[in-house]
Amino acid sequence: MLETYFRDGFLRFQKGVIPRARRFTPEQDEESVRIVTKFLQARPASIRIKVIGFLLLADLMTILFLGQRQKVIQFLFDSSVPLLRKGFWGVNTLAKMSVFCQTSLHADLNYHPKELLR
Amino acid sequence: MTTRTLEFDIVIIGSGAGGGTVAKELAPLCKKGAKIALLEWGARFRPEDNVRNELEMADKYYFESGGFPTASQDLTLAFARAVGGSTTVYTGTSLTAPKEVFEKWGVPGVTLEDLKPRYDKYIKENNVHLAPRDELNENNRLFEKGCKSLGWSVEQFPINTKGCIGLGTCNLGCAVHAKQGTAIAQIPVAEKGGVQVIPLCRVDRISPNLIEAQILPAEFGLTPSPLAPGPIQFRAKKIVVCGGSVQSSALLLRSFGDVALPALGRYFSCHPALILAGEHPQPIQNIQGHPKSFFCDEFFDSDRFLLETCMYFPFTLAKNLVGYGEELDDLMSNFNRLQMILVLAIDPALRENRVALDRSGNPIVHYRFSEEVIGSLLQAIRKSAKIFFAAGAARVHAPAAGRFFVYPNEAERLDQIITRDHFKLGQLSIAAAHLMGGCRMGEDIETSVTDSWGRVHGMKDVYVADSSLFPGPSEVNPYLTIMALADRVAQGICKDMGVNS
Repeated sequence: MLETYFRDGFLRFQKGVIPRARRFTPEQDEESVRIVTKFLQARPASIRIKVIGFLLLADLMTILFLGQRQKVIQFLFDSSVPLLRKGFWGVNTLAKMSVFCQTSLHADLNYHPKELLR
Repeated sequence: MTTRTLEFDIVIIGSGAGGGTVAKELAPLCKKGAKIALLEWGARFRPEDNVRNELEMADKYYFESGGFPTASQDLTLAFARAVGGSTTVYTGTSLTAPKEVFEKWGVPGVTLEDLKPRYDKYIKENNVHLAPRDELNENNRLFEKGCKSLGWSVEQFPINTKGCIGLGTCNLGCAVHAKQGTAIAQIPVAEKGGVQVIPLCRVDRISPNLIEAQILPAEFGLTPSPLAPGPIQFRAKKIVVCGGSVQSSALLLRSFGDVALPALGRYFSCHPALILAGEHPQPIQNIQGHPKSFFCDEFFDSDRFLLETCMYFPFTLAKNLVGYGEELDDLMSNFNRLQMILVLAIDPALRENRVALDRSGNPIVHYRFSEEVIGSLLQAIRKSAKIFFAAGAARVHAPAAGRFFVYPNEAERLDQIITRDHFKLGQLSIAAAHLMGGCRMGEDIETSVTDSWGRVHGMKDVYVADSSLFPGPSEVNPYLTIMALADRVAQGICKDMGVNS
């Protein structure tokens, strides 16, 4: 159940902070989830619990803010509580990882590294 | 199961700028019958192991994928594990520390006069040179242009490459092994001289003449260790710890505690750094070519920071942009128009900034940003924004601006836009790769861990030879200084063993 929640909660958060992810194909969504899942699996369980806890907090706050996710995101990003800012930074970084580590997006970014022919 | 035990005269732990140098300098002792081993936590990388994929290479090379968080989680540290240590993932910028640094360190015998011939040796060995101007890309030349038009000093970095083809992915390891790090320049000489290199060997604990370690299985398709995975012990007459600031401090803390060595793990400094991006109206040549060609030290004395050119990869850049949303996405879409600057604060070595151990015995770094360091970073951000605008940028992403972009018509008001109120720890991505201190040299056991030859106080046969020796920041990119000190430690070991170095 937690894994299903993580997947959906993470994608909701990701699409809230990185607009291009709202246009992702199902395959790109799956690649996003695969990237962060692999990253988190290599980390202690306490990190995974913190990430899920933060996603849960963001979802609950969105309900309290009557569905206005962008207001919640801005509140967490710029919170006067350092713990919330750091939590936002961590999960926002995972969201960035899940998008910008997809090499299939490099052309959209106008990122064309020199090819190495071996 | 009986733990295997191997016997050596000298065991060196860690193969980066420190360990690789010590191995090469002590290798001639093998001809006189000495047995020397060089243990390395990471694997040996072949050119074909480098696929230049950002996430994959970060996992392969770096501890915590290059984002090792401090205890307060407002700073991440980058340090590598590989044969060659962090010299595999630096950009190869090769500066010598000025004499004032050694005067501040105040360690008897550790002077520029003593280190100069050592520096010169590695400058030659590592092919340190200035890249021809026609090889400098536009990202670098725009920085030079911006500095010059503002009347600020700007200098070209000497670099240590040979056969560089301008892939631009130095921080992901070099896929053609052009950087002359220890894996390329010193360790092959050491091996030829008889030093046995043992990759994928994680050292857990040492006592004065015994090393407890684990041979690790190879991951990510990298070459396995020549020894089978599992526990292993090494007996050695001399042990040289060269795991870098964090791992050397942690290893000594696990092994000896800090009762007899009250300064162990302390006086950590790291040149905390931020990345800024300026977007130009037109595409520029930025990601091909060596990423780091120039630096500006105009404000070094007045504000304690350095500015350097840099060029990173999509995720690394995105992570360092403060914020989220449409503007971030928009900037990321224009990667071929981006110029980047790295700002580094020269932070003091404070006793409370330290490497400690968590409950499992793993390193944890306690680092507090002083107001002086925050002030340096703020000034550095303002000055960098001016460079971008002077170079023609149409908009700049500057951390601590309170909004995502700053525009050219605001260049004269940067002091009011980039402010302390907007500098919120935990919101900005601050990272460091120049990790120093923890086993600092000195004479007083209350404030230092080793003597001026790297020998741990109170121990006859345990030495340190890496950046953890630095009593304070090197104030420049540190690898050549690590090598020069490691050369001195190797000389001291020879002297202690009664042989000519």
